[in-house]
Amino acid sequence: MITIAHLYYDLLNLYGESGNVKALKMALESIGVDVTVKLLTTDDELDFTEYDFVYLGMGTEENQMLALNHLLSYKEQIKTAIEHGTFFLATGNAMELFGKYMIDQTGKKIETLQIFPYTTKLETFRMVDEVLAKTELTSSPILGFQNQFGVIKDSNKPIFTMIRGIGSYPNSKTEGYMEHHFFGTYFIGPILIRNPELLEYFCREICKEKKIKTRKKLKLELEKKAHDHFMEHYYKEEKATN
Amino acid sequence: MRKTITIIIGKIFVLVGKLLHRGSSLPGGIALKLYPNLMHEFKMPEIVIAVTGSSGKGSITSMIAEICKKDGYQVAHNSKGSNLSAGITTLLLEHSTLNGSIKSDIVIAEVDERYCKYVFPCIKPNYVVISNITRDQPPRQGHFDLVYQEIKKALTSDMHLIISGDDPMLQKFVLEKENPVTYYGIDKNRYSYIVSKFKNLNFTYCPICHTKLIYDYYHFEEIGDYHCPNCHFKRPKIDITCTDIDYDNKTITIQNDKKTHIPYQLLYCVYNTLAAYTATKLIGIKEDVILSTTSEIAGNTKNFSVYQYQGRNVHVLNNKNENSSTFNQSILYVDRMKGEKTIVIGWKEISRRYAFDDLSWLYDIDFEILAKHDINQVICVGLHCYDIATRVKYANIDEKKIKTFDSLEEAVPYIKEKNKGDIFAILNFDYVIPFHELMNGSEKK
Repeated sequence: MITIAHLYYDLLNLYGESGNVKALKMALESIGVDVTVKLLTTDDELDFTEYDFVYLGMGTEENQMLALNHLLSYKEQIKTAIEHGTFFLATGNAMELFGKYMIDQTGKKIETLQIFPYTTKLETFRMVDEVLAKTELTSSPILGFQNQFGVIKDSNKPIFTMIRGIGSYPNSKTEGYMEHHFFGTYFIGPILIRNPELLEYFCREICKEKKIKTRKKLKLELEKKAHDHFMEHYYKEEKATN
Repeated sequence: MRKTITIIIGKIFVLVGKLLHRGSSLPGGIALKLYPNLMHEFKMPEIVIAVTGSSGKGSITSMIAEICKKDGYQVAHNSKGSNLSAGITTLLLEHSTLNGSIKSDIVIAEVDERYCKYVFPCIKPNYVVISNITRDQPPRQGHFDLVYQEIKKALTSDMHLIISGDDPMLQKFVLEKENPVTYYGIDKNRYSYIVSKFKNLNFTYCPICHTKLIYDYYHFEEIGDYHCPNCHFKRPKIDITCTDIDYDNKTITIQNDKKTHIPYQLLYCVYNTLAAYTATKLIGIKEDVILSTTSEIAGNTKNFSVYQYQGRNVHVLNNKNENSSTFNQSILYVDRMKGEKTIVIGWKEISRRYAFDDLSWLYDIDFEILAKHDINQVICVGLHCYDIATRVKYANIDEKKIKTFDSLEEAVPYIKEKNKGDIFAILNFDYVIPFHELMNGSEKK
């Protein structure tokens, strides 16, 4: 039995992020694992000892602050959960909440969870681009999209090497932050669906961590076709060199 | 002097543009290059109505213009939809004297939501219709809150707002500004529902105290009758109410006894008509003039049509990629229909505007609603057919029912022969006409 907490599902839901939770649930269930998804928000009490996988997505700047204010009272719990191996996936600006601090568009410093060493500065301009990146977690390149005000500095444990896209900041070579089972990335939207190998990676790691044995294999044919088709159409050259 | 010369040059380009049937933003664009401050120099007529928002602004503006013309006004209206600074300048050039006085009685301007801040200080609208702020082109707009901020920058306290009271987000304008406001809205009716159908909503918390809003009923997404359980925030008293909708006969009733036709059986038509009704009533046009005009607004098959093909109804619904709300409206339409269905979803390209393609918005559309229906097949068409198919799979539709085709040319013969039930084609605008041509269906209604 796996419990997925989809935190602030109604506030941090800007760019189709619910797709990531759908993907995890459907994939784990297809290999015979029972999954409970808890939709939690600012009027709920959180208990991080109950969750195996915590997901947070992207929100407007205002909603991001509502989520942060609620999350701050669970700072120690979250830290302990991460150290004990609970999976966290924070996409879009949810990633910013786990860093050292944020500087908002007026220059004001905002206290965040201070779990990881990276810092965020919100620019006054929006950075938007398609993503093509590499990671050790998968053999195929990662497809995604970035659409953000935030730039992250001092992320010393990145997940991705950028081939195309903004990365942690304009012209940076890397993106994301990973430590224990925490994964933070600015890649928005349903990255686990667009990158079926990443979904396979998470399912494999969750089963390993929870000592779940299953003989069933994930069936992600449509997802793989979508990925291949996109690669074929948009990144023929990159595909040839991989 | 510089003003007059620029106006003369601008007018020449307007004339040349008309002769060549060219776009309507060019003359204004050239004039603004010659004289960047030109837009400030026009002398506006007594009534200026601006219409902005994510969607519906073109239809609302046209309806208002038609009603005003019917009532005998001389109307200046950017009917070709050029709604940025250059397009508005062209409109003013077309209708001005050489010293910059607008000759028409009334200016009715559709204005892009991100250009209000440049256009409003010049045209100084006395009435501003804000149709809605939805998820629309995230790569261009960022998100809906930024669009809200952009429109807010353009509003001054003398502008009379015309907005839907059913949309809690639009009330933020009233909370933060002290403008005069007139609300339109739809009462509970046979199509409203109690339990929210849509999951990825923009605005579910009270803007004053951040408590989750409670709904007595919904019309669509977060549109409906809401109140905050913790403070005084609630759906306001509606000034112009649609008291009944009858999609079967394509009519709506306003204020209990005033009936008018709507061009399609879709919710946005009701809101667009209400917005136009409210605006024109506010400037003093008589109800019978308004209603007889709105009743005559003809539908366009580019937006919506129903045919028959070998005993099957074919419903063709126009949508805008990167705008999940347009797709959700189509899904709400499909949700009203009974019986076995074949769904067609597709487009040629995601966006004509960019060198990159975002797919995240596909997951903001509640295709899950379709899973409750008797679905024969879902036909996914175009370059992104596998991305669409994957999305549909995660909506809990059996993978065996999902078919993929690279093009409409391959998909349509299959749709005609290999599946059953009424056909609902939920298409981006770039596939609507090609689909009509390939189906070769005859108009039913």
